[in-house]
Amino acid sequence: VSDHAQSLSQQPFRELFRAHAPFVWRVLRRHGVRDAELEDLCQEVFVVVHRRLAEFAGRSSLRTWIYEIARRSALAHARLRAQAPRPNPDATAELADSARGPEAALEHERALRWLEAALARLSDDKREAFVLYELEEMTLAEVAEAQGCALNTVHYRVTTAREELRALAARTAQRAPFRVAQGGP
Amino acid sequence: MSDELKRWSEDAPEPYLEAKRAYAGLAPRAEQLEHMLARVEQAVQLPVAPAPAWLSAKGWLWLWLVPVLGLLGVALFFAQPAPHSAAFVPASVAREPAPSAPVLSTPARPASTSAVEVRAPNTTALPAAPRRAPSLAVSDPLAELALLDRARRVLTTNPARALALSEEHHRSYRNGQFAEERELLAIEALVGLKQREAAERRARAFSRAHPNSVHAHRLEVILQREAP
Repeated sequence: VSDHAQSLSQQPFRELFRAHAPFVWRVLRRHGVRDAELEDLCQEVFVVVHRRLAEFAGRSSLRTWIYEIARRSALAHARLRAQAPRPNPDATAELADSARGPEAALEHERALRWLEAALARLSDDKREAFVLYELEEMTLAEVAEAQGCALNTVHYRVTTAREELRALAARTAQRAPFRVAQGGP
Repeated sequence: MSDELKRWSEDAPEPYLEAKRAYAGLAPRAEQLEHMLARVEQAVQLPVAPAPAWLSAKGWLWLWLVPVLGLLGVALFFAQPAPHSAAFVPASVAREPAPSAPVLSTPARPASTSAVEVRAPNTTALPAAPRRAPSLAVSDPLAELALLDRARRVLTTNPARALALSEEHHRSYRNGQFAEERELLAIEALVGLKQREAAERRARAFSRAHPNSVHAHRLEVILQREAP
């Protein structure tokens, strides 16, 4: 009986984990957690999620709630390392051994580097709003909840972030067209 | 005006669109995901998964109480007028063993979201189950995990301390549930202390002892770090 009850209670958690772990993984990466520590910290986040699931009780979007736990874990982790959160320098390392071909992986890697550099120029609030809305595809309401601000504010942050990225892309294209292969003048 | 906003695609610059596709692919590999899930489940089940304290070496000593008190109960039942017997003998001990319903006294454990799972052999509950003594730390994975956590937290700031804590873990929980993690942590601390040779020696021993360890990849990453 207890085995059965256990498996019943575990099943939703498994689904929750599989659905949200990649998201947490990216959030941690974006907050500067290094590859070697990513797995451990991701696990820790879900141990906390599991422990506090009863408190959650649908008060907010589950994803927003998990995001907050992940973000705090990453910040605490960075404090322990006595360094400010910063973009992960090897954020693209694992693409190399992904199933795609090496050329596609290289292309992706270059694109991600561009994005990383571009995002680094945005203010913290705009960057967070943009990443959550455009890349993680949260709803505006979820982002507003995550950022503790009004919908209008999120709207403003996302649209101005777009403008800044567009301007940046135009400047990069002038200097060196994106698709030109790297390596050698 | 701010009800919804179309995701950026039509007028988005090419580098961004390319990056967004790449970003969506940033995720742990499938086997990595399942491995993490297994570790998380292990961690959250820790409070209930281990053998109960009364099954540990010291705990067995209390089992003699079952037949003795049982016989005592029977003796009292026949020696006294019936109603009194209950006052002397705890009902649960005097009863016949009821293997289907083992009861575990776990006062310190929160009744969390997961059901309590008891993998106990056929045995009745012992009302006099001894409290978990500190010396029986072998059967306390929570303490084991806490110790490893302490070590992990100082790993980068104070690898010497992390190493010392891993040794403490080794002494207290030689074959604990997290022996592999402890070894990994110690190796990482040695790398941090620039004791490469010792780290590599220990890594080789680790690989021999755990040829199929799920941590093999992580071990490689650790050893490649700051290679001279």
